[in-house]
Amino acid sequence: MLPEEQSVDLSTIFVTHRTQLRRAALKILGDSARAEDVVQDAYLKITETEGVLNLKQPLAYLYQVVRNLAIDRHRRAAFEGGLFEPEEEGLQVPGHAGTPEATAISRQHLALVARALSELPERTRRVFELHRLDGHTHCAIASQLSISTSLVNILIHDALDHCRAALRSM
Amino acid sequence: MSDSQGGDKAWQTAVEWIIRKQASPLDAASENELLTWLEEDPANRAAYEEASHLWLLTGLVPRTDEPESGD
Repeated sequence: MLPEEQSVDLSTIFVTHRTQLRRAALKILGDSARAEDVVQDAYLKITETEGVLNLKQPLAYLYQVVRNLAIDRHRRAAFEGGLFEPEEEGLQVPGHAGTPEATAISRQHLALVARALSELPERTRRVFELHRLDGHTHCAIASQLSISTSLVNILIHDALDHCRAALRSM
Repeated sequence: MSDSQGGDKAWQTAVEWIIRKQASPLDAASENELLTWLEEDPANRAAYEEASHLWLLTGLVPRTDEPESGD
């Protein structure tokens, strides 16, 4: 059944660290409304998927989720800046329907992706984490692991291809 | 390792865009290029949305190595 680590109440940890998590998001976004948005979003995702993952470091995981959502939001905001008229403060469409953050996270999808990543060869997984979670450049990953940048790119594709196949197989 | 996805060019291209966006914010020319590509074919948009969703999910999976401590 569930390992001991999973019994930890992630949402409680979230709530008790909310201020610090929000600060981490703010550091990335530089905008308190967006930071608040990301923290809300992270909280929803964490409560939706609580118990799916085996978390050995719950607090570090919460920071990972908040930082990743903040970075994604930051990058998308830059992209949407080119798509739409600049938004007036307070006129943003809540939730941005159709964008990744607005997509409900299915517990099943998350479990499948977690399993798919765990099935990757160690080097592939390492490359993918350095890219996805740490935001390292292909060059940095290549020199750290003594492989070529083109191989870094291939391995990142491999990781995502494998996750995609896992989701499609259900 | 990966199952054969070689024939799915839209998917491969979508992943390439996601990787590029992760590396650095797109400049105006690249943004336009992406928009053009998205509008070219509904399959492109579908692939891009699928890749974005997958990207989001992978960010929610805890890392395997020792995590850095938060803040």
